[in-house]
Amino acid sequence: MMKYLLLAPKILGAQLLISVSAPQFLLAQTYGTDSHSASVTVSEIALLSVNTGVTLNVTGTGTPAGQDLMTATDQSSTLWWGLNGTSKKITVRTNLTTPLYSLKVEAVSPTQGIPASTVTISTAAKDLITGLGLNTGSCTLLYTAEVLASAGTGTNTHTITFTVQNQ
Amino acid sequence: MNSLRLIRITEMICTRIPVGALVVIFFTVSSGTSYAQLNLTGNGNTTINSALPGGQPNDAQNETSRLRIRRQAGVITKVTVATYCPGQKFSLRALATGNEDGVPAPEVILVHNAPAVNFLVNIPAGSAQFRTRIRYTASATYNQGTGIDPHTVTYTLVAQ
Repeated sequence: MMKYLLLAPKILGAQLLISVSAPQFLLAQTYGTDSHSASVTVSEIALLSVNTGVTLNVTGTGTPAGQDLMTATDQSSTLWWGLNGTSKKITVRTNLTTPLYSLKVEAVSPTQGIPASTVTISTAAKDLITGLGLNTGSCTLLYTAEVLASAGTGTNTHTITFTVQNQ
Repeated sequence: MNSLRLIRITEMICTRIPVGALVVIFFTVSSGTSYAQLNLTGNGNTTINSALPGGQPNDAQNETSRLRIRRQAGVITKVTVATYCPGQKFSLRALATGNEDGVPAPEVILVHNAPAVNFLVNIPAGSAQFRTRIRYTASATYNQGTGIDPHTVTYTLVAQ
């Protein structure tokens, strides 16, 4: 910074001392200048990630004698999302059209949004979490397999799809 | 009297200059790039459209712009940079890379209407031209949403 001191004439009997400061860059000799455009475009991003496959083995262990319904649960999976849009929701569906057994899922303790109650997974997309957007978040996925003893033995293999949609 | 004397002097000059001795000189001043002290090519457009799980959207880079600079005789110079982008939402940074002369300043954060800051310093005195690339890096967070920031970025060659 450079400073100039100016002595102004006496005003009403008082001598006025004026200090003027000017930034150095205003004083520097300019030799050339040029401009161009540099835009930043941010597209809508909706990122979903889920870790690990899940295997539920329904063995009937612990099921009271005479009860037809047997269950098994798993909550080893985490669903993570990042959304820079507004008013979003996450839905869930399966590719298995005629499952022998029932498979349910629940979003446990989401860090953002409103979880739906336990969802029975089918080929029709159902809301899992609503009220999402402009943030990142995660939740634990609680899967519950429900098997009727009368349905017999077997294996259902699902491909579960989570999707971000507009609300 | 003065007016009459001036008219006579003018008449004398006009009559004594031979027609064949008249020389017409045209001065042509060109604004071509060969005379520019500082010249930009390309643009710094960037698009952020991806992310990785667990993080914020990925940065986007553009390094296609070039800055051609002419040294100044007897003066050490530097290049400063400033931007004009009313309503700026997202972060934009600029860095001189691959420069043939001078010393790049640390990466500059471009903020709308902020005072110009150093981009390339310690450019030696001289007359030769040299070039540097400009690396623009754009950043955004999820909570900033979507949109476009149209910057007009200005580079200036000044005495250091």
